[in-house]
Amino acid sequence: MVGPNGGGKSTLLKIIAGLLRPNSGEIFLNGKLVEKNHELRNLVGFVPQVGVINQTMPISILEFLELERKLNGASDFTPIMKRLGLDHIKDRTLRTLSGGEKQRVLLARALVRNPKILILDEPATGLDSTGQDQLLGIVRDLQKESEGILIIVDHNLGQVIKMADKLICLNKSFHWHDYKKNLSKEVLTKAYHCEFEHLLIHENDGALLEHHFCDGNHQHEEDS
Amino acid sequence: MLSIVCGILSPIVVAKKYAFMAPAISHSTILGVALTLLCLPFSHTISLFLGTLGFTCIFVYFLARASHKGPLPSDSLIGIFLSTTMALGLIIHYKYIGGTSDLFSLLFGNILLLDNFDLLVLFFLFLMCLILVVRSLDRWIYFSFDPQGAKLSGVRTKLYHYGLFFLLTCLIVGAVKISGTILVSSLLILPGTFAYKFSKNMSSVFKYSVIFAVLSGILGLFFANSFGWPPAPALALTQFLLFLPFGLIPNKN
Repeated sequence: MVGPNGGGKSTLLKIIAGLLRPNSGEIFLNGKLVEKNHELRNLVGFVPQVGVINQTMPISILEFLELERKLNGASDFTPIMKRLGLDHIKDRTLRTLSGGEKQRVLLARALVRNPKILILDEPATGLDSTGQDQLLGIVRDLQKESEGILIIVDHNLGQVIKMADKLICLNKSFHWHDYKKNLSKEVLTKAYHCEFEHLLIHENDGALLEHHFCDGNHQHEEDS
Repeated sequence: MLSIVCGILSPIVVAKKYAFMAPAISHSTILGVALTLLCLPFSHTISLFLGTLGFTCIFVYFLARASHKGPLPSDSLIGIFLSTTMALGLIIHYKYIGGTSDLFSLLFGNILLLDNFDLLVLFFLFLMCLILVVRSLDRWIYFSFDPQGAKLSGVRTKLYHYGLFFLLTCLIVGAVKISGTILVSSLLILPGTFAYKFSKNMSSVFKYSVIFAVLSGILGLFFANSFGWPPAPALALTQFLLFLPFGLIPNKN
């Protein structure tokens, strides 16, 4: 799921996860209408951004995963901890962890639920490049092994487009969803509008274009 | 009993950053009491308590709703709520109810006015806390730590959110005679703050919080008795003095 900030990506993710009720529209899962939010919640593992971690409470990784396990009747999560490199720091409190470690804990928590749908909401936000690479590597492995659905929101267009089978491009006034092979530059430009140009500017150290101000009405395109 | 209940709830209040909510609720009890006395001029203790609780719950509902729907209402909004309810309550007291000596007891407590009914209320609060909070402490911890994650795992976060505000309102209205509306919030803030400073895990947070609350409660009443201080300020000051040497120790993290 890609698109500029404020476009509705996080809202859509929360609706899919059963955390929010849509104002209108319906949700279908495998062709069947979903009547109640909890049907989705039971299937979903949600990995939010690391900012949700409470900085006051001294909860260790082990306690955190144990809380999740108790509520869901899941089995032993030691293999998950080992796989995500958390076993050797399991007694450390979450508030003392680095951004990358926190993100892996949140991913571990989602995996403890043995989800059919794994959702990652901008998982690379707040991580340094090492953290991002590590996380992306884990997500790629999960994608290969899992038979379920993996939904990821990310702004790193290059990585996301490489990894995904299907894409949704979303902003407040426009959406496109199809297989990656059908994605064109026009679709991305329409979804991101000026943000796409900004992304190009930043990815190319400002070599290509100048910044411009835009209120989303495309007037500046007509003027030029 | 009051100290134990405060010791259990304080870590939850501090973790959810509701420290400012406690004075907001306690100040609105002034309006709650004023409206109850206005409606029931010859009230028995039971009806006074129930009326105050009822009216205060109505005001607190708006605070609870505002903090559930989105990020915490700004401190300015809470401050406006706090001062407006208190001002309205004081005006009603002066204009329509009269007498200032009972106001002093309302604001700052008067432990001498405690009767059997008040002790029964506190006992009931204690039981409610044990049943509603201690029995499902894991869910309360998850709800405080990560409400979204808790909701996904089946915790009824809306119920817990409004339930927390209801428990706090019951506690604050029940504690009015002991600590008064002005100082009751210290009972809900300091124990949790102290506990978080030193605890390495959540079970010790609640233990330290309860120990701190009980110890400061006993010492506070001891000082009040020995030096002739009014009990509520003695309690608040004792908590601060007990917290001070530990509060000055820098955090390891």
